[in-house]
Amino acid sequence: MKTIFFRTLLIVLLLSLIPASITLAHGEPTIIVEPAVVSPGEQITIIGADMEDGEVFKITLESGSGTAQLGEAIAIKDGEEAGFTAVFSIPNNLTAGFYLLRATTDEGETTAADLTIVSSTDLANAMTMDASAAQHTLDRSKPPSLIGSVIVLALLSASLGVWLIRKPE
Amino acid sequence: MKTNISPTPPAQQGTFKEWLVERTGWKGLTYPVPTHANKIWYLLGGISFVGFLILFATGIYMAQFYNAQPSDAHQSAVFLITGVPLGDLIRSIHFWTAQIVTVTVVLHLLRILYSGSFKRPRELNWYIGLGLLFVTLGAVYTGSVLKYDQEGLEALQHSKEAGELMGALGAFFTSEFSSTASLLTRLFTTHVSILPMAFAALIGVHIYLINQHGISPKATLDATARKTKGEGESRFDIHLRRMIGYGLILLAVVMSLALLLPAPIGQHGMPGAEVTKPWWMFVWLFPAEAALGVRALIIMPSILGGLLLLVPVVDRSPYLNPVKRKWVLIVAGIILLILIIGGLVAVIQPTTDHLG
Repeated sequence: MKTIFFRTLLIVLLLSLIPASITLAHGEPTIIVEPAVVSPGEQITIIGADMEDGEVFKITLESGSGTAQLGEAIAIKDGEEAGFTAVFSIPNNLTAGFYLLRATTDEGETTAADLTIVSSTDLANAMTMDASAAQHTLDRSKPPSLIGSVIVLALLSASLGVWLIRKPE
Repeated sequence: MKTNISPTPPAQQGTFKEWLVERTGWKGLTYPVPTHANKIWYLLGGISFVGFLILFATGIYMAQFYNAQPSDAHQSAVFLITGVPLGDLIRSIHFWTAQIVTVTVVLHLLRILYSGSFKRPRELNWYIGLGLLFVTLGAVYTGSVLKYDQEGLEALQHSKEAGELMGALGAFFTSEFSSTASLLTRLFTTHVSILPMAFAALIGVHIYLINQHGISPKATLDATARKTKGEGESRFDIHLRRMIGYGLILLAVVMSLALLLPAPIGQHGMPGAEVTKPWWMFVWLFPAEAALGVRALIIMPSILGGLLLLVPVVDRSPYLNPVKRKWVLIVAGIILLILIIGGLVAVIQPTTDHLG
């Protein structure tokens, strides 16, 4: 049993190391997109990092309905590593939904980030709010008939439960 | 040669109970179980099971109105409360049942640990039980994300970052896993299909193994672990009746809580912000996250999970009584205390930015 346990542990540890070995060998590019929620026609800024100097990344937006090309970005050396900051406009013909923003090189290196496209009205509503831990203030009052029914059902359920527990063997 | 074939005797006029017993084999559930199996501490697993049935019923209803697209998820959750008949009540019953089931599952685990019920020949069932704990916490986590308010969005962003740190093991939580379904959509699928299927498979094996080994002996001073199938002064149908009884009380409690304290929902989530704290079952992670960053979400559960996996390996004596296993229980008690203190510290700790 001890052997099985330690073998399993070893397999899990090896699995978790797989991408680490890739990172050590080649370096793995990453991108951040800001803002993560936009509406069609607006601009996004993509910041790429951990890239090689001169690498050309094709930027695309992928969804279930297809792929839209946004353009290209070239990584430029800045300090020890290369990266880019590129601004793109979201095409007006894209529908609201979830998209995967992908940056790919001709060599097959790829990285991605989430982008949500919403209608301009929804975005305007969202922009007027700050991030808040506060709860929604919704009208959650219930009709007296519903309250009464739930109370009766709860009492019946509890009574039946107590009867089943206390019933002699 | 003459063969005599006895005809089936004509059906006797009997009570409805006799009719039911003949057709369902109900008498097959009257096998012996020990009397202590009918105490509430030995019924916590059964109570959790009834809780899961409530969760399935209410979850199926809610799934008819939920939209798992990031752009519409929060609005559909709000609509469930304000526009769907019984939506607020059903959602609140689901919420409170999830809270209580988490408590009963954890108490069940602690009872097993305390009474040594994981010992030979029940080690495998301990691991199945850990799988069920993982499914329970996974369902709580994915469920907390689905409402997609600030709290849910932050939970999702944390899992994304933790997934990226976990490499191949965390690939599911990264954006690149699927270009056609967002992580929120995939977490919804996990919540409503993958985890319930895993639960069904694991609980099936869990119940089968309990049936094969019998209820573990009472942890008296000299009691040792052994198979007890077929032993006992009580009957399983009585055990089952009490389990249903407590289950009905649970239903009454969650209905009452749903009326008095409807399930909370926060404001629409703003990406990138960190202004909330995790739910109470994960809040003990908060101080560790403040110290170690998002990697604490991998390190701390891994340590805790590893320790739970080690329990049957470390505590191998045949004795069940806590007095004869005090070092294991002292260590377990200290760990539990650390988790509780971690949770209390998290309550007074200010929210800080941990996301990269």
